[in-house]
Amino acid sequence: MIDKTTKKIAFAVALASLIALLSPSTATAHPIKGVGDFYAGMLHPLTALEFLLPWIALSLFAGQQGRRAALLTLALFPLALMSGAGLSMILPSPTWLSAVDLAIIPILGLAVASAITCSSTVVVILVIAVGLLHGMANGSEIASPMSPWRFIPGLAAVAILVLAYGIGLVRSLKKPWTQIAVRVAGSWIAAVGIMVCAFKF
Amino acid sequence: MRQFRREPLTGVALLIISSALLAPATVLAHNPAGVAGVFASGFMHPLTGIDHILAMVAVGIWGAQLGAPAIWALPVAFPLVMSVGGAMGVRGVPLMGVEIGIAASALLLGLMIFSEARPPLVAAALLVGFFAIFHGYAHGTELPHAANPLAYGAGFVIATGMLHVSGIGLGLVHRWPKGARALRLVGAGISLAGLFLLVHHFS
Repeated sequence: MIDKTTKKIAFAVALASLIALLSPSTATAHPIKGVGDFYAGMLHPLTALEFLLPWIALSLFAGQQGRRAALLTLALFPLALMSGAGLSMILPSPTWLSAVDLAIIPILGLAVASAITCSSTVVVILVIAVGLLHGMANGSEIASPMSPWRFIPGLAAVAILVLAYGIGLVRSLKKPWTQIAVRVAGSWIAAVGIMVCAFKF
Repeated sequence: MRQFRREPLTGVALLIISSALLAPATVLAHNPAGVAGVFASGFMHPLTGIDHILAMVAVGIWGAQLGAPAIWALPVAFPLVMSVGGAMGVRGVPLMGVEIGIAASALLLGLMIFSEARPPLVAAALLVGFFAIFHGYAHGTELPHAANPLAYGAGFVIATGMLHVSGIGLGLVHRWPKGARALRLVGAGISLAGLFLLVHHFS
């Protein structure tokens, strides 16, 4: 018998492989041409690992924190992302932005790997900070003919999707070894982040 | 038999291993391009070296032999320690005898499986961690040459992790007496292969 959790994991794996299959063709054109601005906003973070990896880590982290923190993350991250993208419309993006965005990857990965539990305040501060920084980085990629009014909601929509899948996955896991599997995923993301940080800094 | 059916992980692990063994020849025919190509080249890096495959599968099998908490601690800690070796490789920190260290890791980890060694968790972690540095270093030296370092890193970390999962999956047969004996044979095989690679480096 296949239980519910297995089904959910199978679904998540299928989704991830679908994303992986879709990304190669789109990733070469980055900013994406030939799709509407809303979809460009959705695809932009999915086709860049510097956003996709920390988002996966953030969703797993939020799922580990319990119901209240998970819901707060789901609500606040898209809002912070949109605010950051909006900010990047009026302010020039700072030179240190990509470096800080890169440093976020091992931090979030290590948080998942260690299965640390944080107070809601810490989660909220972390989520808003990451949201603003990633929003600024994504927003600064909006090229002139693109409409930010469509790109930015697309960005928020895909953030909600990624977070909802990750949080839902972690919250549905009951067996002890599946929770370890989440930590293993976190340690993979942290390992990638540490090495790339060693390369860039 | 029913017990076996309840453990789908073993079947999955066998599938992953067999596909991993089949993959190298086909992938070489492609010219990697774009994020997916870089990811694939990173993913294939641990899989195209038999020394890496043997050692990583051995880590998983040994972890499964040791049981909890080692079986859970190793796959979480290994990538992190490996990334330290990877960072050394990225920065070009000199490290002597990387290939010898990797071959020695297969030899020694195979011996641990063959002898069903049960050192304290700290000692096991130190031994595995020591070798993790060499494996990470070997993959890390290639990272700065990748068009997309994140994709390359994600590729080889995931491939390494899946080799651990394969080893853990194989190691689950440890619960049956015949399975435990078979594992010791596998350990002997890994150890002999490691010895062969080691002699090969010196000859």
